Amino acid sequence: MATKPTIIALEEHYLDPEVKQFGGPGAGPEIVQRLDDLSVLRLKEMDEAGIDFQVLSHSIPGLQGVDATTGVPLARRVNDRLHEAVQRHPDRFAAFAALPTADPRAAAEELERTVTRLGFKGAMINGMTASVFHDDERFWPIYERAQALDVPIYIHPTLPHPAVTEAYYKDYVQKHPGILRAAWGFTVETATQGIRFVLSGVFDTYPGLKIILGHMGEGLPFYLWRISHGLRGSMSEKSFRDVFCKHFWITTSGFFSDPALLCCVMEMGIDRILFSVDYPFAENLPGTEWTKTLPLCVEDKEKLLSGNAKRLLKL
Amino acid sequence: MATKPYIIALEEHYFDPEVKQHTMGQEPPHAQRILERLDDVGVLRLKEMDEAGVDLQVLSHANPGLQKLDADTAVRLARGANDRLYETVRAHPDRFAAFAAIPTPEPKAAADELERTVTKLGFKGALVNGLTNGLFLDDKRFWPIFERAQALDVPLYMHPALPHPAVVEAYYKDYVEQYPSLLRAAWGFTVETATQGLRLVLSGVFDAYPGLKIILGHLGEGLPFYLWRISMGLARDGRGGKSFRDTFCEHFYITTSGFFSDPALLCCMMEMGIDRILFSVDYPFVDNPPGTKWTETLPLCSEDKEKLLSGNARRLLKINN
Repeated sequence: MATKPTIIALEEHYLDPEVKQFGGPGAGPEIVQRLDDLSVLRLKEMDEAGIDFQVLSHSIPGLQGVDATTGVPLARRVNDRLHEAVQRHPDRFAAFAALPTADPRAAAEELERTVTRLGFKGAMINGMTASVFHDDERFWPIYERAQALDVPIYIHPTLPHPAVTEAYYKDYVQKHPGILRAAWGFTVETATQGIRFVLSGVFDTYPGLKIILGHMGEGLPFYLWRISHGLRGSMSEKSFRDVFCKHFWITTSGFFSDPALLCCVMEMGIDRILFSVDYPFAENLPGTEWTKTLPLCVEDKEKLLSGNAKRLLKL
Repeated sequence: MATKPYIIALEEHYFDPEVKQHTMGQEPPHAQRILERLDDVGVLRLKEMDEAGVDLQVLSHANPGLQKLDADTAVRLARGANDRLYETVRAHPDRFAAFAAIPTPEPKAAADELERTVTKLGFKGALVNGLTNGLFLDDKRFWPIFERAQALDVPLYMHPALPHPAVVEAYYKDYVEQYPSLLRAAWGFTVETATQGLRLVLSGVFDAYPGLKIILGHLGEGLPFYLWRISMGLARDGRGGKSFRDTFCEHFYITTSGFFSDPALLCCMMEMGIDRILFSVDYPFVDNPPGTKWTETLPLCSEDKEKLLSGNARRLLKINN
């Protein structure tokens, strides 16, 4: 009988008790209870689903909604507390840092501190900072530092820009709140962020920069042909596809679909696709059960479940 | 040796000379090469169809069409434009069919014009470009159009246009100058038209008109890829009833216009089945030969390829050529 494969999941969220005061994810009590827990309940639900290891990150909106004065000292406390949680179960948890992006230089410093002193594996950024996309040059000190430290930045969604909500979603928000979130608004804004990173030239300046997108790359792998074709007149040297497939990694968080995964495998190759759940917004068990039925050879499944994460995050 | 398969393409655009006068200035001008081809519904177009083996084009007015005009102007122009399009089809009935341009700024008149063009002129449905003066088409004021489309049993093709200005401002403006297509085929078109598809499902229009058929180009603007995640994200709202996937796969058809990708097509086939996927080019914004050449290399059995290239279009549009 085959032994259970090692499973690492890396878009797994929690809530810091102090950050919570500045706004939570707008989730129900069952979710909030799990976001608050970094021990018994979480470990039990990991065990039940066969998840060996979670890379923890702060849930939306995180520090992206906090101003610079408050955010810089707060980030230190948040990451120190997260470090303690990891220290209590070092064989089960690792961490992505929360960064005070409202002060990009301080955010770069905090990334360095958490990686070099606390052993963090990179950072997660939720949505925009004060309605500015993170490809804006003011944020580039963060990417310079990420490259120097050789750690990835995980770009995670949050509630969409208010002007876009007004123009595209508001008629349906009351009846179908998911339209702003996992069903659509999250996807559109985060995919747009991914495209903007490529157009910004940040990968020319920092050729070692690594970006992770969740939710099957927010759909960008599906569109690679069309986006590359659309941009071919204005991207003469490297195609959109070339840049995307060199600098992006994607996870399966909250998106357990065979057709979508196979499309991503065809476009990006298995080496850039990493299993994740999106706990506690998605449950662990449907995620790990799904991987059992995937039409992948043992070697590729091992890459998806742990091998790629070990290599990318140096676990 | 195999005979050449019959090929129908149904997102193929032209410009009406009178409508053009009223929509110039709504958008930056197209390149001369594109303009020349939009203006041509005769020699050049037929030559380029022949060179690529496209047998039949279902013609539709290029973006922005009648959607961004005031109601009076749109109603007045629609009749003339559709009558001229009818003459074009009559000149080459074995090579052309037509989707109507409908004056959506006046929904009741748009429904009437849809009926006139289908019943009197033999049109196959209608193509609508983007928002109508800032409104998505799922707004209830437009439902008379859907009611009539169901009664006539013709599909409505939802085509993109330049995105809502507030979204351009929030998402795209920093890169528009250097990358103008960010607003168009590369991304902005996709996001807005996929959002339109999603909103149609949420609006309940398919409960009201269970026979309604919608066509989305550009491989369904990506919605097939997202079916699992959208269905899950909406199920969390706990409203029960049919899943997003069920409604989408019952009422939507998609075309390959401007999107000749094996991985994307195969993903769509797995999600929707081959019977709902129709070949198209997006001429003249995309050239015909890359489209037809691509289909030659597709890993499909000849029966499925025949469905993609013409069979599904014949059935959906009731084409008897």
